Amino acid sequence: MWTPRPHTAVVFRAESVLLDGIFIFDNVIHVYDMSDANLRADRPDARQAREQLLASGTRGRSGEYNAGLDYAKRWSIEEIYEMVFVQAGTDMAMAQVVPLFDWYNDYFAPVHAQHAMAAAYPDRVLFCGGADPIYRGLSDALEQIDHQVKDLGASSMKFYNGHLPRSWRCDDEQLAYPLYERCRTLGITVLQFHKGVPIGLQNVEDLRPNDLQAPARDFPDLSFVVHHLALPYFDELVSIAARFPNVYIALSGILNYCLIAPRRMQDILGRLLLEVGVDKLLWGSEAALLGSPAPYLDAFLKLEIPETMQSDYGYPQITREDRELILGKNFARLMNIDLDQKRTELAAAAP
Amino acid sequence: MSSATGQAAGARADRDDLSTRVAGRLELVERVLASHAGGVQLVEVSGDGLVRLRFTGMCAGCMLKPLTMAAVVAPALSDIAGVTGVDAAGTRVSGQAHARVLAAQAQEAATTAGLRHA
Repeated sequence: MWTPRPHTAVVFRAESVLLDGIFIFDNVIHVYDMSDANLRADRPDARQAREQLLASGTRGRSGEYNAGLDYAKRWSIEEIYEMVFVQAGTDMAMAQVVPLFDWYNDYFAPVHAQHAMAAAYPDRVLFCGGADPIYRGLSDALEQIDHQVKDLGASSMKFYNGHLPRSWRCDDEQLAYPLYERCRTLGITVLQFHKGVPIGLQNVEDLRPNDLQAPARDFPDLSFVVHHLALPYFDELVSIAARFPNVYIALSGILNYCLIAPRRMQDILGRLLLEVGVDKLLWGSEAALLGSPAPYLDAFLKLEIPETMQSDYGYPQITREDRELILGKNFARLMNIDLDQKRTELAAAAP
Repeated sequence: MSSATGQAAGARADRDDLSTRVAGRLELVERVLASHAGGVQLVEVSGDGLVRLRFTGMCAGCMLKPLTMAAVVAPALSDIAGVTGVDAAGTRVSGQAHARVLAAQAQEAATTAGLRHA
């Protein structure tokens, strides 16, 4: 049973997080629409899937500010801005579509909402589009990619291949490769994949990361970002990310467990630093689902690898440079953003 | 050519020269790693002499990369004049682990020397 933590007066705000000048570039935030109105009436399992997702968010959330929010709704861009940029002191973020259509009329992180977020805060938010080849067919998915890149300014694309009643494979040369080829033609070089952690009752093995190996081999000029550590397929992901120079790991929602299970996070991060390398790791908060990133940033900035784990597992200590790379520099490099120039721009635009 | 421009050009030439020497030595290292179907590529040599590498082939996903780095790659590059450090993704270990590897190498070197003199 989950017991609510004791009430404290602490409300995390930017100044309470020890950011210490580190540029925070959040790889993944979502402007969700988890309202009743967005649930598909023709899918009897829609409400159950939504409740499962909300429950996972509740378990993972921390902080008084987060505890007081209602999540089963259509989030506004102003609320997300407050949560991510004001509460947590984030500098930049990418608003990502989640092309999960199984239970939602308009995806549960819709295209228009992510685009609206980027349009409202163009100096701080990038738009990541999303498309799915079995939603309305491959032709429609390709048209969506065209539209989202050319008309809406998407700078990356997100894919979610696990569905009910059937999934698609990321190494399907007929169904998936045309998506990657279209992205490449349009100049989109960063492709992102929800892997592991099924949102609903899909087959978990459909979301194994193994089907990204062939695309990573066949599209060496594209970068493949794998989210959620592909849990429970962490071992496979470590092997893939270590071997493929164009496979990256988004710690989306994962660092939040620094508060719940710090020893497990030390083990995960230690192993990633040891076997994969810090250059491949990207911070992602998953706000709004897991609430304001502030308490998780705070916990990560304080997280260290204990002496016993350094000795017994060979894990290196987490350095300030590691934190800078994970929290912003790595993703900025992938997205070709000059952080010095961006800092200057944001400072000049500050009220 | 101004003095500053001349200094910058000189530094660039030094770095290019160092990169060439590192790349030449890496060709020898590659032959060793190829015996395990592995390999290593030069990513860059920074202005202050830090050599950044990337393991390829069977080495890329191997848990023993830190040992290969400590026992084969780093020693081969570290004695090149101007190299201040050698780094590759997935080879960073704790100070304790590094010390154990170095101790094992020293032990092995001592044993080998003893055998030669026996």
